[in-house]
Amino acid sequence: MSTQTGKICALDRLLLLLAALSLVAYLLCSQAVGTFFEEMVRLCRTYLL
Amino acid sequence: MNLALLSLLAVALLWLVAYRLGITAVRRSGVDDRVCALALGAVLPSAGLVLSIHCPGTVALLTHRPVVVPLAIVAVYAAYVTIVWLLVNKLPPAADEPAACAAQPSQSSPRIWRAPLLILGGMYLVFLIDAATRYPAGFDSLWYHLRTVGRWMQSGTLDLVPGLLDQTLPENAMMAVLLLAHAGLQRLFDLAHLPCALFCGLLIYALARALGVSRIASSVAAATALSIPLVVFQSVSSYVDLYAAQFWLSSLLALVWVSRIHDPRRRRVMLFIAGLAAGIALGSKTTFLLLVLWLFAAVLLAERLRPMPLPNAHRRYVRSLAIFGVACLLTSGFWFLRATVATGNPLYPLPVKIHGIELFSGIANGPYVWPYRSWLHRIEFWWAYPWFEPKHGGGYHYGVGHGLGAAYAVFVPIGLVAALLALLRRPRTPTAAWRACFTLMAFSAIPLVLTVLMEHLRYVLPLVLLGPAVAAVTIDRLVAAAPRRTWTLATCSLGVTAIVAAFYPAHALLGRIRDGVWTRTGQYQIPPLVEDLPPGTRILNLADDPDCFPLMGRRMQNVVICWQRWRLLTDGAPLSNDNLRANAIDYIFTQDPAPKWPADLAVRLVFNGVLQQPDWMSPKGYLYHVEPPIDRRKDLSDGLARRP
Repeated sequence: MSTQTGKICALDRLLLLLAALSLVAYLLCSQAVGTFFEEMVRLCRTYLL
Repeated sequence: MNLALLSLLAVALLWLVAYRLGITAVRRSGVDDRVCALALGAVLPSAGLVLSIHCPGTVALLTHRPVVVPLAIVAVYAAYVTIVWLLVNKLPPAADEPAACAAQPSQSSPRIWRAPLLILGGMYLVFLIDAATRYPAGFDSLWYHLRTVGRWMQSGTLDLVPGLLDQTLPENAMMAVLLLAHAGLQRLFDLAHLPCALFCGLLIYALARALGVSRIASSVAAATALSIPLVVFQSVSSYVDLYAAQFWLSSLLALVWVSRIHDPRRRRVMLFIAGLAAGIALGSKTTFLLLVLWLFAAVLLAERLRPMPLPNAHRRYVRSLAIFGVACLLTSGFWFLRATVATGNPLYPLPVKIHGIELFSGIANGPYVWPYRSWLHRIEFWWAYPWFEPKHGGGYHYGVGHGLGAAYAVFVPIGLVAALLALLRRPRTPTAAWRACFTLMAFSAIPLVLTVLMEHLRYVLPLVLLGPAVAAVTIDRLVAAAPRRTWTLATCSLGVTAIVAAFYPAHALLGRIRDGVWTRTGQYQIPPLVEDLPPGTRILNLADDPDCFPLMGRRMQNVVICWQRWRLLTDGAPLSNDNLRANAIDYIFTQDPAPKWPADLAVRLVFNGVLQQPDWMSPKGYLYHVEPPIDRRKDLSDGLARRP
């Protein structure tokens, strides 16, 4: 837990880093996100270009 | 206004009255947490609705009379609400009950935490608009949930069809839909389970609070649970998993409170409410035969953690289990009774075998009890599911059975690992014991999905939803240590999930606007003729299973016989004039490729083609009218000739 002085302890830093890395991993690896971008590109090509 | 619609309004009104009574009952039992009371208050009205349909269903089962009609349901529900009112009034207000779980003061301003909730609200709004402007959708819904409802509506019973797996399952979740069907409100079918999402959010919040987590972290946990695409998609569908999950979680929350209440009488009331909730879940899906065992284990833990241990401890355990079990059977027992009366096997369609000896026969070798892929494939598929979200086959990766979302991937895995590490220390407080219990329950989803539950993520939805509640302890730590950074993570991850998930309904809605598809026949691509056929018209559906519900017509007046039922009725004999007439078939519906009937089959093509959009992917449909025998045709033409 963070100390009373407001500083973040090492474990909290590690947890935050892991959470942030999880978000990055999700954005890069999730097939749902991949499909979403593919569909967006397809729709843009169909209707805008 | 027709009688069915009036009955529906009466039931809705009674539900609200019973909900108010439910909240009072929960508070008088010693629950002094407002959100807990709001979440658990839904158990009594929902149990009442289930019982109000089970009671006439039992009469219909034993007497073979069509008594499952809206008026009978209203009468039983009114009697139930009156009894609950009398019982709740006998329960004195709680005075010296434990205070709500200690919440840690938050360091950050609550106002900024509204942003994730607004994102979530926006996502649900898109889903709501889409669902409110279409007819019911979803494979399982159209294939059997709604078809079962239609069959019950036509027969005035809650019967089953032996031999047909999909027509033998318990369907507590379809009770509200049955009333909507009687009132002819098909557009609202997929909205019936939307409140379940709201209640699940309240339950996750309350469960996190029960673990001693702050309000902000509990809100983030609830938002994470509500952002799970599987939950969002199920909330606007006629799938039953979310409904069952709500009551499973309600039962667990009630049991947490059972372990905290001092007064034996109030404890019994709360235990009974927990049992009713467990029964609703058990009567909603066969897979809960397994998951309800976790709740029985939680009853034992609640008894173990009781504030003032009493002598005769073993007797206390048995008594608590008995109260819980009886309440559980009240809201689920009808389905076992129905199966016993119809087939002799209370667990039908599951076969009951001990050491290879079959005690009760069921629908054997069904693909619903054991996985069909190798262990290597299973592990390859699931090892990093929260981040990769793979899916068998093509199509959209979020849906009623897929997807956990970004917020789940960000917070839940690390929260669960932290909770697992915390298990290394022996829990010294009741809160720590419940946290350990929730952690083990959440982790049990992994072996269940990989083995008996055949890799269906939605079958373990209550355990999936428990993940954010367990992770709330870690989220709390992050919120306390770095509120801004945690807020950024929560907002970004919820935003990503909301945008990706809302894309599907937004795309579907825009497509409907572009094509002007607002009619039932347009959405389902079925012949307009079937919508207004006389009640009782029998249609043999040789096309896909999900066409069964659409073919029932806009008033659900047609009797649709699917190909599996047809095979049972004819013992697999080929299509012929004799078996069509023996089963009084009026129409046959089929799709591309064009059927090749026997040369002598007396059928006439009355619909051939695609309805609105020739470029749509839906296959071409064909509707054939089954011609009466020649002598009957002569009678009919004579009758027409004689008509003035």
